[in-house]
Amino acid sequence: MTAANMLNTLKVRGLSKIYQTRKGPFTAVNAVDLDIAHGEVLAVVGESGCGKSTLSRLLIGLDRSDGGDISFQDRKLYQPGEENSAHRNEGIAIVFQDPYSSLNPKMKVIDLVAEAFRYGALAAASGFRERKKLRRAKVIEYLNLVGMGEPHLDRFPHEFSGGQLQRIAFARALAQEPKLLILDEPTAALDVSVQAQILMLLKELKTRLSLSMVFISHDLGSVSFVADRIMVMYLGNRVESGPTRAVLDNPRHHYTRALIDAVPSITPGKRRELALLMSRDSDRPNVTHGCPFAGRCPSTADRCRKEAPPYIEEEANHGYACFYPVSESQS
Amino acid sequence: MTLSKTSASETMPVGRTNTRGAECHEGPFEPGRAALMGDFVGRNKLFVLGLGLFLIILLTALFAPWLAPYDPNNIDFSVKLEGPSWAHWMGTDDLGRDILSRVMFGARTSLIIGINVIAVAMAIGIPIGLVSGYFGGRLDSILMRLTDVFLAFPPLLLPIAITAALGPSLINAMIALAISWFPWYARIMRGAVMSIRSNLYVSAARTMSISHLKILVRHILPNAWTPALVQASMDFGYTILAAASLSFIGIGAKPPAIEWGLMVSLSRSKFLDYWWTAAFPGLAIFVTVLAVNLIGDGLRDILDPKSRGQQ
Amino acid sequence: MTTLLSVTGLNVSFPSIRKTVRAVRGVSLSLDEGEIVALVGESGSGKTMTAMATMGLLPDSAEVTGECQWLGRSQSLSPRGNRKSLAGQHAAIIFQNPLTALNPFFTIEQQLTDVALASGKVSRKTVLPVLLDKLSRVQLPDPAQVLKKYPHQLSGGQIQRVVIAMALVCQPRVLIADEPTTALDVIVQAEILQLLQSLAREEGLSVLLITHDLGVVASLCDRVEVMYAGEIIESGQMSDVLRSPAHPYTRKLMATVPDIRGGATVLEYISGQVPDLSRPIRGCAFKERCDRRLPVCDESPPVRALNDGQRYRCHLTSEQEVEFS
Repeated sequence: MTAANMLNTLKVRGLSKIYQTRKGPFTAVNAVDLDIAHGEVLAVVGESGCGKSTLSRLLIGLDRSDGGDISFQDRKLYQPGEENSAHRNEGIAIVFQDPYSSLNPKMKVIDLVAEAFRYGALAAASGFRERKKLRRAKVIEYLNLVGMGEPHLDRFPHEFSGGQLQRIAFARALAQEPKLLILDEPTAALDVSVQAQILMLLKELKTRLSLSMVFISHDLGSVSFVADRIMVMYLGNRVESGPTRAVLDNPRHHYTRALIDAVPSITPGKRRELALLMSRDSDRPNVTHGCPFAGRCPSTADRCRKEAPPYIEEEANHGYACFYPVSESQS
Repeated sequence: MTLSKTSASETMPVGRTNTRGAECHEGPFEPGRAALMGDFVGRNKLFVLGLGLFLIILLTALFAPWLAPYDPNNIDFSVKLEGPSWAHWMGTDDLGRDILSRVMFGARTSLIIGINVIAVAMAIGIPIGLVSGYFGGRLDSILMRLTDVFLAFPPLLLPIAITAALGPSLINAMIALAISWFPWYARIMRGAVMSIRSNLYVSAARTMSISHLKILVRHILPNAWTPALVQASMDFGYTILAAASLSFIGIGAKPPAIEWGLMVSLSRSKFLDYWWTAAFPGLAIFVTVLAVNLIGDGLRDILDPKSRGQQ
Repeated sequence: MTTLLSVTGLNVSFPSIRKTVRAVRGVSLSLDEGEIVALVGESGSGKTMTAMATMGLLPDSAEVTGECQWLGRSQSLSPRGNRKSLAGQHAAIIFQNPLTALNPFFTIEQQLTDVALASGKVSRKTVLPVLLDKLSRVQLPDPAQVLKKYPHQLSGGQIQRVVIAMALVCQPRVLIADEPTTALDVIVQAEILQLLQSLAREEGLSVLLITHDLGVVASLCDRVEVMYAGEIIESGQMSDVLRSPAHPYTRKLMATVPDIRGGATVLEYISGQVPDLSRPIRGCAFKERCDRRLPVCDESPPVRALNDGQRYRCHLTSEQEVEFS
């Protein structure tokens, strides 16, 4: 295990976020552990409100956690004052879901990308003219990485389509020279054909730059295409995680299985009937004890309501939090 | 903007377009610059009217020394209190000065007042609003309570009090007006900033460790200034009106300054018999305020992002 | 089977001084009783415009031509037509974001009652049982309780059910659903799709489903019309079109969807952009992005028919297609 730990880029232990609402505290992220190795893509999957977007905001430092640690390349993040810790998210960049609102409409592409350069990125050039030339050249370099180029430099965001805008957002993220890229539903706002382009771009970036990524998505199709590992979240809890194929082919948690069953296939006649109508009980009580999924689960027993199931890791890092998991034959 | 490029390559000789008559209704209708201008005027008639009036006033103010038929300070008792005539289009006042010339020179004073007051009010109000809306929290509360103090006074009472305290003069009147006007800009800016702040691109900038100052200047201000601009164009008229009011009650401009409000004020004892002494300066105030209000209304419609939906 | 709705030669354009956007060009479609038809396309393909034009919901600035028949009776498609239209009598429409269809300040009961009374098909005395009946038909548990609630007290899936119930209150024969599940989570989406299907099967409601999601089409629809750049470029029985798509665009579109079973290392995608609809399109609208482009594509492609009613608008014959793939 020590060898694996050495390779870990991101290590998260017991990460929690509690929002104070009028109805009382709401646990958006509940003691989540996760590890991402160098060059690995981890997909975080779940329905809206499962805490996946909060998780991304915690990882990038837009929100402060209410407990737990985030270590990135052996430095603790967002904890000023300690030795081996950093307050800022150096080495981590994020791409948001909606490119239309994540790019300032009043800025040109060149300025949008150049803004992301780290301090000292242009130090090689001396003098105003030289710096300007280098800045332009570097922006073109990053635009080329995402399949765009010089003709786009002096245009404004409204002159681009959604797919192109998302590419610009990627170029901006890459310009920060990150080791870890957080992708918060990067294709959800795009058309199907464009979505495929972005997914291909992701794959290419992964192989060419060996970036680690956190890919947050609700679309299991995209996840199965790009991710090495999957973590399924439900109401802020990690309910299952493991290698992509293991989780998708052999889900052990009932929630994972429901998610997989609900995905409509494009092959006609392959209609999977949903065995259970599950969102009935969707008032989403803030579960304080017992399994968070007990209210919707088909195989709930008394024990599930009384105590929270521990997260058990099986062979090949495939783990789940369930007392009565889906058996292999069922899935 | 790309329109001009593409139209250059796609425009066909007139003769050929005619032979393609049957297809004409399907072809792209690339209107010329004149047609676009005509369309703009057609949709913003009042804005264009206001702009035209304002331009006339501005040019009058700029070229008053050359345009004015008489020296505005030339006292000639032989023609005192004469009604409008060919020699004196707007008549003369009790010292025999030509009112048309005085109205023309008065435009200078009024425009200077308007520009200065608005500029100072914006210079104070906009930074307060930016900071207040962006950082929020306790700082926001303190700044907003401070501006509330200024807003608590009835309009015009505060400038009267300040001018009275500083001593009556045109400069002091302008300072007083700016002080009583800046809270509006702070408020408007704060509201705009708060809605812009929630945009994802601001979060994105924050994740890139960009300083708050840069975020404010590059990301927030360019997207948040339009409401303040619209407000400024509206307020321009009101400040002229307010300055005239201050002059009218004797704590603004002092003779020999030439100012519309002052002119109305000086003629108040006799305007029942000699109506032109008050009517023409009053009309000038009215037309100026109307012009800038039309511009402000028009700007609000033109800059409103919702009305730009037809891309 | 009766044809409830048929639209022929629908054209929608938005003229302005700068340009005229021809959003829909020559669309014809029909809807039989109890049938679920999908109108598939990407954003800007004109699928929503088609639905809005059919319902007479386009703004007055739109120029709409074409014919529309509701149960055999003709209806003008001009947006300046009378308000008591046949579309309002026979059809109801639901939108992508259900929350915007409800007023946050009124209870579900108040809003549903208003709609029911305005439809003129329910009287004030009988309105409550009707509402309870509709709510239970959309499989909401405890309808009486739901009626007392405000929209914000319900979940996204429940709200979409309430909106469907609201549409049903008008006793429509046709339900037009514009991306009804796009804003919802997968599990809730699956449930809403099942609901639409059971409404069609058990009560003979016809559904015109507007979507960009081929998975949704495959799991629910009987027929499918694929739109691109304002035209229908392929249509037919759902199983035929999705098993053997004939138009290059449909093929490409299907290849862009990553399968959950994995295996794919490369995803196909459609490069380039949808053509600018304010410029005239010569020949095939898809030719710029098509990898099977021929010189003949500069001419308008013919509509070709395959044996089982599948039609597509392309110069390629099916033999050529088979040869290629």
